[in-house]
Amino acid sequence: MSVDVKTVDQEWIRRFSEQRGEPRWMTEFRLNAFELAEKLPLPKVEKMRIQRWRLDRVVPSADRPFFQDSAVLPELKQEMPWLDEKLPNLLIQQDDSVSHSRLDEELQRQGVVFQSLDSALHRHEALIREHFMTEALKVDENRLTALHASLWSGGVFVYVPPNREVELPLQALFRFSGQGLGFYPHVLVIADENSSLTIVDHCVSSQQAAGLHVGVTEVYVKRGARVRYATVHLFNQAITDISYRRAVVAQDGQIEWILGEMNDGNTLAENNSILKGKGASSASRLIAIGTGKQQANYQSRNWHIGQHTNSEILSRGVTRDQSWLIVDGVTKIEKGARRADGRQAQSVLMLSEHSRGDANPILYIDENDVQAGHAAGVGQVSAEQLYYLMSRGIPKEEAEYLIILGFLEPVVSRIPVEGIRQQLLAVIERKLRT
Amino acid sequence: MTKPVLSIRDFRVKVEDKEILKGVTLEVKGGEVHAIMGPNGTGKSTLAAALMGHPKYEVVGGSVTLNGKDLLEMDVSERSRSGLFLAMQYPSEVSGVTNADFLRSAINARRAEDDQISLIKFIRMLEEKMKMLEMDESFAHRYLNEGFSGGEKKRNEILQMMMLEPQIAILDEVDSGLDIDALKIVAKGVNSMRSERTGFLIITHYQRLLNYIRPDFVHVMMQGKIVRSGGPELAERLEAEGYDWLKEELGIVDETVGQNVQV
Repeated sequence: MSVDVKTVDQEWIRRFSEQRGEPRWMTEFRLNAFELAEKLPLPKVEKMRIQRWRLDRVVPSADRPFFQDSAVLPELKQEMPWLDEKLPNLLIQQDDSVSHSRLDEELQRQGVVFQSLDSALHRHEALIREHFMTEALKVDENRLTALHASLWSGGVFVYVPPNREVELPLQALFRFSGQGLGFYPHVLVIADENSSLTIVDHCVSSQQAAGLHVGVTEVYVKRGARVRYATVHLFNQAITDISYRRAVVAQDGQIEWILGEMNDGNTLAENNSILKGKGASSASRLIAIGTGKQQANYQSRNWHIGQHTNSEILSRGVTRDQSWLIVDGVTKIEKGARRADGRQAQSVLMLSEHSRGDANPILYIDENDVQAGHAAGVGQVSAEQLYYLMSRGIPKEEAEYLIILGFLEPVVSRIPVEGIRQQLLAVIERKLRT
Repeated sequence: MTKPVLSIRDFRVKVEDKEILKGVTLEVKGGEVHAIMGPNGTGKSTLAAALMGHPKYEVVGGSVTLNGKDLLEMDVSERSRSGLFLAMQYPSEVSGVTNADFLRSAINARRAEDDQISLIKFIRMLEEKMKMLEMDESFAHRYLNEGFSGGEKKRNEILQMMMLEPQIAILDEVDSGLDIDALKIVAKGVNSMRSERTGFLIITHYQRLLNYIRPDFVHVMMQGKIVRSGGPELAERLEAEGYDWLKEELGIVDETVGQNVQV
């Protein structure tokens, strides 16, 4: 894969940044990142040869100036009838720009910020500069993180002031409709001390969309803060999805990741919680369904640095047709992270002879005074369970479907927005029953 | 209205090349309660599972009809929809599926697509039956048998039976592991369904259950066949004297299956 130098080069990036009226430091940031992108290797992935995936088609769809149009497109409403521009905490990004952004007035008065990242660049410059790809995710990790750093656009910036508890979930919808293009949204969340919030992001694509998505989410959970981050990915088969989700958790902070991975195309996704402070904790729950010839690799990681830190990973995948799913849990406990407790459980159900599942528990433990547990399994739907359900009159296919729905339930039930949960269920049904 | 009838003729069943049932013949009609007793290892549970169609069991002879239709031609779910129910000894646990959702799916599976049970009607029926079985409300929202004690699982089997209203109900050692109070509740549930519309086949190891569910017919199984049939007094005699007198009468030394001794 190579960055398409015919259309993206230093000049292109400079123009891109200037058209958006970005501060100087961001323009330089992008240029430096682009230089790195040309030199760095692709991310290293065990077993799956991602260099064979379609990683071209990187040009973002922004040759035109970005638009702001607050009315929610009728197409979107057709696809998602529950979507309503009057919803108080909703942001919509379409391709390279945020077209709609709304936050309840009372929350605004309380100092909560929820707006597009590009428009926040000036107003919240210091805060963003301090946190944007400085710690959670670094520019130089690999070619794709560098590419994202140089080409990101639109995006979401969330800031919750100390002690503020935001009850209503903040919702962000990312819709990609580019044909043969790149899509690089960036989410930056800063939950200040003792605050709490729930945020749900939701990625969809138009039927004709095709290209490369490299998305990054960075969450800073400050001391005592609690963040629940749910994400549902529903990209079509012609989109390659590379997603990084990282949290840096300070003392007594908590993060919960809820991940509904329902793409039809090749996917590499990583969620990683860096448990820096004493008593920091992370829980992640992931479900994924592989269909067709899809290859998908999901990494859930926890890095215990502080003492008395806790982590928990629950990942469940289903594969059918000729798809291949790798579901890994990585628990890394540094020396000095005394009394750390890290648990993980991964399982993959294979529904057809030619589908493939791998569930790898990986532990790196450099400290003695810790607890760590893991369980990983790959198998088929239990014949005894099928027999039991069938003995109550439920036909075989429906019995199998019910068992699999039960298997995926730990994530479905935790999606905080009803409309998104229903959409997730509809996609699960499509992926399992057609 | 014709009474349902389960007709078992010379039923022979094998498991992994070992013949377990060696020709069971029995007829259960609506309105009748049949008890099958016998020491362990004589084929009682195999009979129950093979009638339901458990894939582990291979039918090698005989016939079984339910209301005149060939039961052995049907897959497990069809047998259930035709009116057969089996309360199992070791019910499976299915995580993530609530007891209520499961029951509703089971009820709707036997109804036409345009005649699915309404939520209100379902809830009302469920609450009524749960109350009779002294089951806590919270149970409906727990996952299917997950984390249930043995007694709770058995009660769940009876609840399902009461909700599905089968024509022929087989109870496989539904009393094992239950204390006397739980046993009485199970009996209450079964007795509430006694009518011309339902026939019962109760497999039990201990006579105790039969004090609360009075059988019309009692059969004893040994070596994979029914070796003696009688009325309730047969069960009473077995309770008082054990099985030795019967074995002697029949000339059986080892009553378990896998023996080639003739009866």
